[in-house]
Amino acid sequence: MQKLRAWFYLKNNKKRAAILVVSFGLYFALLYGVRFFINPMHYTDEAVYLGNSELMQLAYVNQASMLPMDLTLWEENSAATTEDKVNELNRAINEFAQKLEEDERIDHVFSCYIYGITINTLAGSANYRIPMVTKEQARLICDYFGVRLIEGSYPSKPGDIVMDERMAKNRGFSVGDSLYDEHTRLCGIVSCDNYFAVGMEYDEVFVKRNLVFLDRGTIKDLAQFFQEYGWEASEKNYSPIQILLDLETNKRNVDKSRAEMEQPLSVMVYTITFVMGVTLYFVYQLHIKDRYEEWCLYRSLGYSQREVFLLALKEYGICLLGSGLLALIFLLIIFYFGINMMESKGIVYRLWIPETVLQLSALVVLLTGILQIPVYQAMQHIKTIDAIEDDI
Amino acid sequence: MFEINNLTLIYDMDKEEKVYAINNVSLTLPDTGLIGIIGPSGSGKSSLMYCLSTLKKPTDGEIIYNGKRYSSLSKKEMESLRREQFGFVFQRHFLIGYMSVLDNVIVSSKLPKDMAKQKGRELLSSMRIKTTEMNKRPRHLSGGQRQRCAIARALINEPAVIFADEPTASLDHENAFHVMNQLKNYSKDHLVLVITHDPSILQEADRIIELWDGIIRSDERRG
Repeated sequence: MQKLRAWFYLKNNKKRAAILVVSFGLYFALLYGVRFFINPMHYTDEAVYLGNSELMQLAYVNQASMLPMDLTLWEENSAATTEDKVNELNRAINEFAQKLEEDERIDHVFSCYIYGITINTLAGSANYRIPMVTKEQARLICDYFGVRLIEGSYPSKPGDIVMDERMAKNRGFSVGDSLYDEHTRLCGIVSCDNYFAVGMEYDEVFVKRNLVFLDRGTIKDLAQFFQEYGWEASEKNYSPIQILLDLETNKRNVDKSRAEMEQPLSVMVYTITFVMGVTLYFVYQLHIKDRYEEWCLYRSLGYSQREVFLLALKEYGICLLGSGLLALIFLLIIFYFGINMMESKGIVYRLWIPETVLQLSALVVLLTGILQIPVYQAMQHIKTIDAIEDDI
Repeated sequence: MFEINNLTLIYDMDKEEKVYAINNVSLTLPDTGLIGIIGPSGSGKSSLMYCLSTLKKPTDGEIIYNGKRYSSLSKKEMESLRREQFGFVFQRHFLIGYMSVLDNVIVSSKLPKDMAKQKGRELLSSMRIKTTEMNKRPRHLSGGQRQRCAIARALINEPAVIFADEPTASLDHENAFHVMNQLKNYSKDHLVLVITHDPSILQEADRIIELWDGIIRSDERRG
């Protein structure tokens, strides 16, 4: 008997085969594409909150009474002005910072105030904290991060802020632009592996209750660090020392935010997967209907059920292979537009998402199993050509 | 060749009103010859053909082919029997639309492809299909030409038995006569069972069995 050739049908029924290949290809490309556009939310979160936390940590001193300062300035009969009080508070925090800097695990500790800047992704945002420090400290932080100036200059005047090119792109800032008010402006753009920004303070009498820690990954948990000195610190805003940025706290927060985002996103992705999967099932069933008469003929002529089933399986396999290649082409188009869009927005993205590839592989296996159900049913129904004759 | 004992085929077994397609038929069929099975629509002709060719399982009775009892044959053995011993011409031609006429003819051939093609061409020529038409798709042929292709397909493996269900139904008189002549020639060394409701095409038949409501009404042997 001549061998049943799967390729023969596909070659001679290009339109029908194309419907199958395009349906499968679109399905896989769309599922990966959705993840490609959604995942930058996670990656941007990670880049903002975890990217710098190995080198830099931030805290806010809530409880002034723990600082070595002259509290008589706050007494009712004191003649001290607000400026005196701010200066005293800043001096005390500075002294506190210098004391902390003596710890051999830490390279530098500065007091500062902080500005927030929002990094937008396609669906969501993250808040980056910009430390506002002295000119020398700003330069030191830049050097500590190993950034490279690509446009403008490092902060040299009060209110100057330098930021990395992705952050500038994300917010659409150019060198010379005002960032918050007339006092702050973008003085330079640097290149850095992570989102990065630092500014020069513009008001000496601004309360600087924040602390910037610079170390080479030795302080991962500020809460534990402060505990060693007998001070209570946590991410809660009523804690004596509030932790704003450190690896452990931010890891927890990123994981928590990821879990919160993941739930609605998963529902959306699973809904798309299911609805399109069902559509695909019906498309495939139409294909089976189209093949039914031929399979009946083969069975009548003496081909075994196994041979006909293998023929169907091979046709499916070839279509699947074709759809995989087509999905790659679709994805290249998606990547082309997606990359352009995300690069221009300074969004952190990844082309290769292994967990999605793994999920898609599992889906292919599941789909292959499910799509064999109509084939199997047809095989059971097909006895021989008489099955068709009965239908006439 | 065929020994048929008390063959019964009932449709709608699970319903109260059972339909007897074949009702207690007993027959013996020889190794060679052209045998016509005639009768009106619904008389059980096609059902008898399907039972004899293993395409349908009878409700009761026994069919023995060359000493093999169908009731004891496995699915695989039945497939093998259809593949090795039987050729089919169905009421509809059942040609595969996307294949050429020649590919349709050789689809079940046991020969290597080149030889199968050569034999397919010979068979198609003998069925008055022009060489230029052999590479065409079936939809480009007339109904009669398609039926002749289906007959060529049935003959490709030189089966011991040809089951032909209304082989001339879509043919004009001249082509019907030609096809019957071909089948008659083939029946010199093989068995050809022709099912029809048109007795005029069975003038050359060696035997004519008339079925009526699933029962043999007459069994006329000639020459």
